[in-house]
Amino acid sequence: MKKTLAVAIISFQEGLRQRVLYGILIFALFMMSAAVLLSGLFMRDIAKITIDFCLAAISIGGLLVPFFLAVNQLARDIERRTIFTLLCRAISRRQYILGKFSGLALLTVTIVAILSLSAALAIWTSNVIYGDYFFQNLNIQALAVAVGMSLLGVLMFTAVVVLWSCITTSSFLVTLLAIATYLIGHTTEDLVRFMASPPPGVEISPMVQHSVTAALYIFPNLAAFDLKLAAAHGLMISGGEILFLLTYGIGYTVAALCLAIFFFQRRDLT
Amino acid sequence: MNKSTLLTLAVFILATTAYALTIPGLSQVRQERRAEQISYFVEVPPQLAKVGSLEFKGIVADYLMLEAMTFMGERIGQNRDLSAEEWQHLHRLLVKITSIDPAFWDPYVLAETMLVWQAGMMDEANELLLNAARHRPWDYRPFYFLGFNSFYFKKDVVGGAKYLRQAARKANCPDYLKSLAARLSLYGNETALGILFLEDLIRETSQEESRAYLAKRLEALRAIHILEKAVAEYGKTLQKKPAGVTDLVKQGFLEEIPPDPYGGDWVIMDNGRIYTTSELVEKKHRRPAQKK
Repeated sequence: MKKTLAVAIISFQEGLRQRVLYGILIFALFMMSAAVLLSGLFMRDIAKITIDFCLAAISIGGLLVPFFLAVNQLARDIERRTIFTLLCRAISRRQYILGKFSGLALLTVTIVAILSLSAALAIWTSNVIYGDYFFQNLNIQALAVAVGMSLLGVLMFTAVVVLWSCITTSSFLVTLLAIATYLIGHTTEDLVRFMASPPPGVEISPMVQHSVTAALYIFPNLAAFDLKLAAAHGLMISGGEILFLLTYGIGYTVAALCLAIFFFQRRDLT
Repeated sequence: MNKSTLLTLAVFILATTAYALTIPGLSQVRQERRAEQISYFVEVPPQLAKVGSLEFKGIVADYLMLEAMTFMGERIGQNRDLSAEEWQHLHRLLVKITSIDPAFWDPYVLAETMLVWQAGMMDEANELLLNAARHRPWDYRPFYFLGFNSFYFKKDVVGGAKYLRQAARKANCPDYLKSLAARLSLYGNETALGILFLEDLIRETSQEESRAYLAKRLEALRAIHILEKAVAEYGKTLQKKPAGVTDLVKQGFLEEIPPDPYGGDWVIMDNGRIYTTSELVEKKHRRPAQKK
């Protein structure tokens, strides 16, 4: 546990060294100002527009970690040979992967926390400027759940990116696989729903049906963790759905990490 | 400062001046080209647009809404009339926005205030409002708008009453509307309903331009209401119909004729209702087959 924590702290510090948090702060300032200013251009749903921007900013901020840090952390460690320094100090490959993931997760949590605070400030400013009338549907609980689920979705996605990093040596390939995973994760659910009741005249071959269903089980269902629209309209999801999402998200993340450890233990690092 | 730095500075100033000078011209050219078209997104099927928005459905819908409003605003600003095809484009864009974010209220309001009042596309707007009613089950306004359209434009009292009753059942429905819904079958004055409707719209509109647009229409309806009341009083007292609105002043039923803010002339119809030659449309927007 101590060794895993040590690797996690090193990964976190490496993220900080890349000036990630400064970038995030500038990005937060920009997005939140845009949220307050742009919402004034609309007619009625001012709260919805402000929340749309804030939640999108939180998602984008969270996604920076898997897309820009996770994709090349492992590859860089191998390239710079720093991985051997760690593995020589009686840190197992399992501890290394878990530590790497924990560091990235810690960085994601920090980023999401900073962006959430800025979002709260933007919503409050918008409320002060435009008045309570346009914020009647504001539901803090729904917002908190949306942010929490967005964070869980990003962590799940980061775990998959760590898995890809353990399978392939090329960070370019990892980036491509990460993009593909993200796109599949956000569209498969809609495709399955479309196939369940296709419009008249459209025939779907069983092979396509099986492939899409298989994709739903293999790839993370990221769309399920996107509760931004509901939160923007002040709608709260049921307790049952929250429980399903928590179980699915944690289960998938753990499974992806186990698979990553499995592949990494068998990987030739020389 | 050495020679090389001076040279770099000179090139920088030249380049900056050159690109800065092109900005107004470029904006003009682009605006002219863009004015001819509404979003390319209109041609994308709604389902594909929804899936393609990934987890950013909210801001994609917001962006498209901003585009629809800019499109309308530019035409209103330039006093340009929209062609039938452009109205269809706007309608398709609103369908797209509401398929990406079906609970987003602004596109439905734009459909009600523009498609119905300006383009006479009530069936299309009603279809959108029924979609709003499905996706905003907590909100009285979709049924309120539907009821208003049935009552005011279609003269369908039964249909209008049905929708207003549905609106009255919603928790956020204001009290005055509940009582209005209850006595709608006896309610004969659709101008008064129009005034209530517009007052309601103005109350919850933040944007100055939209407020001014609605306020002008409200002013016209208030003038019609004053005239219709005077015509009714005239008929009741003198047992005959006034020949024109000037009779109302001559006989002392009105101190002066309220002007039509759209610049039209008032005409008293056989049923005692007031008609305006402006049809409550700006002069440059008037179309031969414009609905009231």
